[in-house]
Amino acid sequence: MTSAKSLDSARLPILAVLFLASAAILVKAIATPKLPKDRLASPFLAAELHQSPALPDWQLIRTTPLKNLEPDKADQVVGRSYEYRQGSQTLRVDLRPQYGDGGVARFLRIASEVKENSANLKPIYKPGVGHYGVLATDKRLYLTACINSRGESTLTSQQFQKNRYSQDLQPGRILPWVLGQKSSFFDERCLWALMSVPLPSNPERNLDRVQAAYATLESAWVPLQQWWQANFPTEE
Amino acid sequence: MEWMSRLREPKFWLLGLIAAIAAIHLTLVDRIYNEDLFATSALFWLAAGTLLWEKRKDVEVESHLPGVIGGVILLSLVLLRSLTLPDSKLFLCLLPLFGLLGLVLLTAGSKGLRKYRHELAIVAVLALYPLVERLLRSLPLSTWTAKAANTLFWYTGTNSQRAGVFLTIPGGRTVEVYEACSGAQSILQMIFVSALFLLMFSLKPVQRVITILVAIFLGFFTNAIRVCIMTVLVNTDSFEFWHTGHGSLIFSVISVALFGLFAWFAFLREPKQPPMVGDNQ
Repeated sequence: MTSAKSLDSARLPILAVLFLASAAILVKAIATPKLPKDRLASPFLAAELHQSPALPDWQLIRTTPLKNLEPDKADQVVGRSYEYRQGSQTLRVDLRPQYGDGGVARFLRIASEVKENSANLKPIYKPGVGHYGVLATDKRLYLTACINSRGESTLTSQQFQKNRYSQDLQPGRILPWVLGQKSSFFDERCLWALMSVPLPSNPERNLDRVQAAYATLESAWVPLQQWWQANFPTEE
Repeated sequence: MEWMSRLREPKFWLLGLIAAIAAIHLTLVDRIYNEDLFATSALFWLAAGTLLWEKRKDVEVESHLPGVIGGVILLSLVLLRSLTLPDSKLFLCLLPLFGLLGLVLLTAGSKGLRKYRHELAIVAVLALYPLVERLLRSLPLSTWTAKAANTLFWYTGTNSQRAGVFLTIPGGRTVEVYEACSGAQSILQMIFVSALFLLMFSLKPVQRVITILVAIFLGFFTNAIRVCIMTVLVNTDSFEFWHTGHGSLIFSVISVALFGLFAWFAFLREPKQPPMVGDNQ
């Protein structure tokens, strides 16, 4: 029984070392200042989208940072706007990183110029591309969706969550998460895209031009999503 | 000296280690500003601690090499991961389970798994928190809450209108029941309060199902009433206080208190002594 004896004598130092280590971690956890609440969600929210995404047949004219629409946070950069041209057509793509939620209708209402018109959002699903929404205001026609880092695009929170199960529950993601290389197991980053083209002043009399605007948006959406999925900001 | 000899007893180091792990856990949860998870975690630690306290007399330190190795590996993983002050909710919910499991293996080996199964069950249930939260979030709870709030308005004679998740009452006041107000959080909290109740008191299977259902119902309806009050208060100064401020916490107090009343009257109350027959003999 010497091994049991030596185990007994080893247990006390083990417990003592573990206790001292945990006490040190506790001190660190208490002493380290908390992150402010709105910065905590994810560093992804402050991702700087510096790249110049190429869209086939479109020429990138300029990019401008997007500011927070809330008056008291007006100097906060919340994304980037890209302007493309093809002949006389212009296409605007606003990208705003979101985290933890994929409810595009709410983003439209609180964080874009669409506001109350978001109630007219019409959902569309295309296999292989994903869910997206289309809506028209007096001046512009919009196409919008969440670009997920993996999987098809999504429009609602439910679709976004479903993607997390089907895309993120993979054995290969467990080890990096255990080791702390990834801060969260599910990749809840949504790159919210809002594309728009101007509409003619009398849409009901120019239905063919509205149709053409819609076709333009849809044809640009597929390569846009592909490009951003391939160049998604790296996960932290 | 007495305290010197106490330092040689593994029991006291063990107690310190449990307290330190619980404190690390609650501190880390506090750092992510998740009041619901903090309240639930504190309650679960309190329950596990109470059960452990009742066993304090017969804590025996007896384990074999595999148990010691397993326990040290688990505890080292937990502590190393905690050192980076993680904000992952999934990790924070698994921490108590891995921590306690490591401690049990280290001090009592595989025998301990049986001896401390109630304590382990409590932290294992807490580990399900993110899973249940995800399940609730994948339900169209926003629409259901909007429907229930609309019905409640109808009962009070208010002419309200609902379109999807939008509620409008006379006076042009409109609210959108978005995910955070959908009742998922209050239902989640009630499910865990009731699960803890079921772990602490033994009930018949039918009673267990009823308890969980009552808890879900209470969580859902307190939130629907909250949405109604929010709709009335929208565009007023007090909206923020009741919506995201401290006023919003009163609703979880109300639902937990109602559940406590239910549990008391349905199961815990001692039945009255039947009147003694033949007292006058």
